[in-house]
Amino acid sequence: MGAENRRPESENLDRWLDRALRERANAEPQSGLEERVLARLAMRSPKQQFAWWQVWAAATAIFVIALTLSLSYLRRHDQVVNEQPHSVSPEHKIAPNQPTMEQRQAPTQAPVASGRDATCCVSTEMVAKRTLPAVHTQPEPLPKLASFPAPHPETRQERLLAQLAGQSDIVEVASTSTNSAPLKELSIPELRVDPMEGTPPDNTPLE
Amino acid sequence: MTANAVAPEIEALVREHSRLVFRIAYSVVRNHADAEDVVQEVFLRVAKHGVAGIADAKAWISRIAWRASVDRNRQFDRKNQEEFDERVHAGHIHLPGTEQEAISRETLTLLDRMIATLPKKERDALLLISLEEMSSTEAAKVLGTTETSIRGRVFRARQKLAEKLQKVAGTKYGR
Repeated sequence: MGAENRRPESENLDRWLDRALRERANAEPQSGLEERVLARLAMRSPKQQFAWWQVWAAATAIFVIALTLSLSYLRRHDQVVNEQPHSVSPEHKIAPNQPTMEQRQAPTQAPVASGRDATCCVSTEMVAKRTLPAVHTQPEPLPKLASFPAPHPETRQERLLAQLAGQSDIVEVASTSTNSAPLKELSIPELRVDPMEGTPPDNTPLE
Repeated sequence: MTANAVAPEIEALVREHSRLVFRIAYSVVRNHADAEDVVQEVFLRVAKHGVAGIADAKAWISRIAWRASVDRNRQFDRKNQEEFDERVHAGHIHLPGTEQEAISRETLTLLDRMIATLPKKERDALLLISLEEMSSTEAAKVLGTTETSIRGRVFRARQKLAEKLQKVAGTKYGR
């Protein structure tokens, strides 16, 4: 008897559950849903495509600019490293009288003065040394720091001054060079002045 | 901003399936505005992807709609997993005896809460099967499983719901 009563109840519950689930699920959208969707699609699609193109174009441009900047920076950095003066360690100093490769290979074109002219008593070798200062062509490793903090790099004025000092060394060397022509011996005759007439001799005291 | 024409094949899909998409979305998010947002999102994805190479457009769109609805539900952090205490709701539900008697809004809200407490797989199968446009084969395609599995899940979900209803309404439900 209990089982018979239970069957209609369970069928009733099943039916109710079906109805409730159907009613719950079958919601109706507000009228005009298709038109709203189509309108939004029409407004959105071209803009999105354009945005993608813009993004790609911007990314490419940024990449190219970054690449150019990094290359130019690296080039400039290398240039600065090559031009940096090596004034800390004495072993990196450039000897002013040391000729460079160009000087060794190229013949000297400087005019040679005759031995009579006293101002041009400098040999051709000295002229070449003075006109072409030594230049570093190979980049060398940076010197180890002897003191901390590291000394300031030389300014332009200091470099010019050092160059001038180097040139004065050259002049001194030139004046003591064995190749230079000997100066003419100067003979200065003794000056003789005759006394004027009516003047007392030198040993007479004046009154 | 100027409006461009939508591709005819996309327009045909919108006209044919927007109602189904809305119902799938509404069964998950339970809100008209959110469901309509999901419909818009689904057809934007369809238009972006294109329909080339799609064999079963209905199953494809249903799957997109299902995933978009679940994502949206998760995004708004709906408290679906809260416990349903039958003792609290006892006497608040009336199971009508006849087909003609309408089901009250309150009863449907309670049913929503009961469904929310079901295990996820059973709940998903039950929600899809409840849609009149959706067969068990199509529900299986949407959820990526077999038809047999869908039927088993639906059966277990209904059993659990019936037990809860029995406790709430005080009716006996034996099988």
